Amino acid sequence: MVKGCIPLMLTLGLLHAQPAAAEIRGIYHPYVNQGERELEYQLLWRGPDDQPDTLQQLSFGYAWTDRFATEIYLLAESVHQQGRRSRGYEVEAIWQLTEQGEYWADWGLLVELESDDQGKERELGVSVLMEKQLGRRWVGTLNAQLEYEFGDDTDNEFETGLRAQLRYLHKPTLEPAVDLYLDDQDYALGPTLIGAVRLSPGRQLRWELGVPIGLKSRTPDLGLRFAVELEF
Amino acid sequence: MRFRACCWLLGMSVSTTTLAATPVFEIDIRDHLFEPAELVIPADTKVKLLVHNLDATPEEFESYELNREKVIMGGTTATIYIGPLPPGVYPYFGEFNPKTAQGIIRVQQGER
Repeated sequence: MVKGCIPLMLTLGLLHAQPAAAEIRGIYHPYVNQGERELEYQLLWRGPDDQPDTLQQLSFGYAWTDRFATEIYLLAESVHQQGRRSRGYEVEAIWQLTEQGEYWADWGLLVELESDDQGKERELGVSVLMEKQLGRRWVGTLNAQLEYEFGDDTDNEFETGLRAQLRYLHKPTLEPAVDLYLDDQDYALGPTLIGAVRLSPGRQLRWELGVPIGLKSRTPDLGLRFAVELEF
Repeated sequence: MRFRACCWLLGMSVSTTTLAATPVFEIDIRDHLFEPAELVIPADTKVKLLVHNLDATPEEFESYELNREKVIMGGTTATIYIGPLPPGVYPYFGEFNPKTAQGIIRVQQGER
């Protein structure tokens, strides 16, 4: 997910009760590399305000074909001042729909199914993934999401979201980017640094460090997102 | 029915035009080497690269300069679209055998 080379993902994990923080978990790219395995840890801290919030997730992914991959996530969230902790699980699936560079833009599809550990709040989301190389050095990515929330502890309703990233291909170890997150709870924009370090043939470590800045009152003013992924 | 026929004809027309307009080049992977190791393609033209992995083991065609990363399982062929690119030299390598599997794409004006 750090780089996003997984077209179909299957995610199973521990999920927080309030999905706000979970929406800022990086940008998906519409590509899959057959046989690739990914082990990822991600930390998202949101604050400072009266309710700083931490989300952690651990995921494992595998690309079954050159169009389809699966991934397993474990997630846990804690809201510090309330002392509240919550967990849940999620299933995601991504399909690579077109070959990179074949058409005007590259396309993929992401399906996400989330539930808290009590099964009282669930979300089913479908996202269209688009990526377009802009000249030799810039890459633009869009994730447009339609989501349905349902369960005993939530209103059954549809929601929409948009994630976007503009990335500069500086060098493999360091790519600056700007990430944008828009959904029913968050309007956030901020810089992100992305990099990859090759460890051995067929094995590399990818990382991301982002600072999402809230653009409206309901969104925390400042956040910090860190992800590290072993690809093998 | 007439509408469907028109759509089909239009689709075929676009598809045929696209295929005809995209030059195809081929590279073999044999004994963890790319053959040819240097490929010349035309500038400012999208090309379709067919990479045949003749080895039994998988290989990954990777190039940061081309912004491409594609795994090719043993005994299979992968399709990789490149360009349009300005003239220049674009290196690539095999992620699983980076010491031996290396090549370059040379983009030149007027080449075909």
